[in-house]
Amino acid sequence: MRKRTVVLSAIIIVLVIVALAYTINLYVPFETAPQKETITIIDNTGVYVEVEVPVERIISIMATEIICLLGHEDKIVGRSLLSADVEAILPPSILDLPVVAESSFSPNMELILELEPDLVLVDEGLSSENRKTMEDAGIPVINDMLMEPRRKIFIKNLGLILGAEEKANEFIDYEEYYENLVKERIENLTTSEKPSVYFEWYMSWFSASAGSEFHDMLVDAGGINIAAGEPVLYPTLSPEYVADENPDFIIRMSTYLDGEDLAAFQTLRDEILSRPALSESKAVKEGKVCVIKNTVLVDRRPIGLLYLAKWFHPSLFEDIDPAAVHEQMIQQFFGADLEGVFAYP
Amino acid sequence: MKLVINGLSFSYNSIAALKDVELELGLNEVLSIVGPNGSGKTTLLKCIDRILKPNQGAVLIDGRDAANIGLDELAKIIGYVPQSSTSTFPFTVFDVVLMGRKPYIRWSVSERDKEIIAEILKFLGISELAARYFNELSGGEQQKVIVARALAQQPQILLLDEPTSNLDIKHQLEVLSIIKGLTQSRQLSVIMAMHDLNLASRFSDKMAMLKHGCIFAVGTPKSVLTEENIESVYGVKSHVTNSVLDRPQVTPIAPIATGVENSEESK
Amino acid sequence: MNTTEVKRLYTEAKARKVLAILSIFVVLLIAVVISISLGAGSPRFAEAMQVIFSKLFPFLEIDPGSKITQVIILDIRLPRIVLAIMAGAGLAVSGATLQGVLRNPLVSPFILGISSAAGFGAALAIALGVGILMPFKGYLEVFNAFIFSVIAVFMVYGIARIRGITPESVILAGVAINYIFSAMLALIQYIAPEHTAVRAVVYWLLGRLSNANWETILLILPIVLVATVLMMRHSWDMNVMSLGEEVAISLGVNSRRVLAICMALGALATASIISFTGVIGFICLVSPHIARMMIGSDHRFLLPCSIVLGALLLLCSDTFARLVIMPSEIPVGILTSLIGVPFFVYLLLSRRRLFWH
Repeated sequence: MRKRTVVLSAIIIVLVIVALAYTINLYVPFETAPQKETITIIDNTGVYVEVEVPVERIISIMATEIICLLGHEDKIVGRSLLSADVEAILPPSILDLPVVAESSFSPNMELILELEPDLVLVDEGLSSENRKTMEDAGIPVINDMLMEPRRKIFIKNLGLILGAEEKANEFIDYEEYYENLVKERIENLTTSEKPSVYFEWYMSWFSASAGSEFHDMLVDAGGINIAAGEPVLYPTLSPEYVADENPDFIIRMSTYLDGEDLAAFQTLRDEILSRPALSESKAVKEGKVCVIKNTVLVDRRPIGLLYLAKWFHPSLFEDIDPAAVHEQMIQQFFGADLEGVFAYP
Repeated sequence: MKLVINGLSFSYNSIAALKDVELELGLNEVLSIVGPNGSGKTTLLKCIDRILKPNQGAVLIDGRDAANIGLDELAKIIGYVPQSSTSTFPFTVFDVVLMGRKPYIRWSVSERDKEIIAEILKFLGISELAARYFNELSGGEQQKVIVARALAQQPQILLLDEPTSNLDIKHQLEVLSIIKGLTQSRQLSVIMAMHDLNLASRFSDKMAMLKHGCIFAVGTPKSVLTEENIESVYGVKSHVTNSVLDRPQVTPIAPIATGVENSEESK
Repeated sequence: MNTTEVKRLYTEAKARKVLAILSIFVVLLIAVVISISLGAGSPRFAEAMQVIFSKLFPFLEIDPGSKITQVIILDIRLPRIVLAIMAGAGLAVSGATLQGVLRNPLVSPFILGISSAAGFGAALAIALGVGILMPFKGYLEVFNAFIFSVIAVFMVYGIARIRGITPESVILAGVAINYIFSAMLALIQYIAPEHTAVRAVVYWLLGRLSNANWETILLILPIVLVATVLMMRHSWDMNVMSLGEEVAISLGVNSRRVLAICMALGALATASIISFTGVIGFICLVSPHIARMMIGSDHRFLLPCSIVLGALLLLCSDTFARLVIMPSEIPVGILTSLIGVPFFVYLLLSRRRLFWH
């Protein structure tokens, strides 16, 4: 038995050494072309990413629409799955592009490498192993997100890399304009003038407390979140609590799962109106129950802000029509007509 | 090998199962341990083979304390045949008997190992069963296989716990004759726990009767199997005669109604 | 039957067993060749062979093809195949070992609670950014998962010791630990500060081989290899232990010590694998079962057979998982769970000899 162990151990050691030897040989980096200009940016993970410009082949597992907005959709060679709302405003050539990843969680590495990109955009779902595989093949990877607090920085970085700084700034200024507009108008409101709001998303009684992006939206629109102080970021509230709080407004976020047509929004709203626990609340009695789609609430934040602000403080925002602003924004930055329902009523 | 048991005591939690047992096993001797249920027969066997660790006392094998003998080495000296056998996984008869060679095997099965097993199977008359699955055999056949396994250990002391309870008359006689024969032809000493007094009487050289974990009587079957002893230990009135084979034969008559206390006092 | 025939029977049976193992190994090699020839990218059999042979025999000066082909074959497909083989083998042998020492053909290493513990550790890292050791970034969840698996095994051992290390006490302790960590895992998912984190935890738990790279393999390989060799060394002990604890002792096997050691080895191998891949179930249960059907319960053959079977099963599952809905993938953990269902239904309905009482 002892002899056998020795023989086995020897074989194992030899195998390990051989494997090690091959590993060192096996990495095959891309040949480096003659030096081009490089731009270095810091992404969301704190990594200094060096990108050689001009960039010709982008794989956008996130921020596809931003690249189109910046006018460089012709550079995209591969994309992720896109929501229907985003697909509706992008040029048809984008839809023909190969889908190389469902999301950053599951990129198809073979397809990505075969497309020979010189830039890949991902969000935090990408595993470090997959990132390393791409970087070892000489592909710069930017891991970032479109939500605050990274939104403006990331869009600026993209603008820098694509040489589209003007357009990037135009878009950022546009969004800032409306954000500031709302901010100024609700600045001097006292607490008593702000409506209390019960915010719901994902499923019944599922809310969001302070620290979540939804809470920030409610506050920035001049509302008070009844779930602000909950200990859990996404608490499931008890119906009694909500009834007790007697909210002035009920805001429900919908996604494509709930349905995209007007009837779907109405169904959602009706369901809330008919809940026994909420039947005595101010919101239901006065019909102040609103459904808003995640596309405008999260992805196109300024529009969402306008919708909320106008609902909460109609007198202060009489001159603003959020739907019209939305239409105009899509026309100005994507050259497309806006279609679909995003908020109700 | 000479086996000496000194002052052995064992308790399950706080229940005493064996109290101060003293016993000696001579060379080539068949010693049977008899006694009613719960008298400690099985416990005694397990203590000898270190399956249970005694609280007090020692088991001496040729003067050496069994507690100081490694489990591996002990397995080459003592073979244990339990009362019943199960196997979680299906094994062939050959494989089961092969496991008796564990103390001698490092990894591979040698020619000698195979030779020994084949011989033992032939000796016990179960060669035909070699490729059959153990779990599919009858009770009697299984018992022979287990004895074969213990013999494969080439022990010098064989412990058997109720080796005949599952067997019919023919197999009972066969198995016990084989065992008795082995003590005479090889260097084997045997301790067997028996509940059948007549079989024990017929096949043993020495007998020890246990009562409540203590040795009540020890000696030749003739001296141990008396009507008084049986009444005292088993609480049964019996008639003991001398059988045609010149051994005591016990014929139980009736249980004693109000228990053992009366006979204790009269003793 | 005379003694010569009896001995011959045994020798022939042994030869058949060795042949069975070798056959499965050959099938495994075929599966490797097929797997390396398929993928979402364009390289196929010819290109794959070109790359491999040019690396194996550099003196032959074979043209390896374009750089991308080489990267796809050597940095994406090959590590994944090697990981599938290693993980399948390691999980299978751990399952067979635990079944052997716990004397129960329905157990797997996960009965010790290490899947929930690993999940908890990973969730701690993903959702809260908390780790026990902070080695290099990006491996936080791997180390966390591994360390908590180890903690779970110690806890099981500690609890089981109270009543003595027997199969029953170990299994019961394992069930308890499983529930503890499952509950804590659920709690983390509930209080997680971002919803991407929750999604990431769910994704981690599913079990996938898509993150295979050579570094991962070099980290796992020594642990799994050493643990496997040590487990195989206990083959005779496992054989004997199936006759019961008492008989095992009488044959010189300290069954409690063997149980503790093998439990630790099986857990170690499993933990090191699932810390990287997430929870891939059923390979550790199904491989030993099929192996036992083919080759019997002698653990000297059962363990090697489980190893090649496990490798084959996981490799085939993973290749299927990454090809069936290209370019998307099914996490292989889901696929292996699906295999388990018809397998156990078959066991239930089968009238063939039961493999245990």
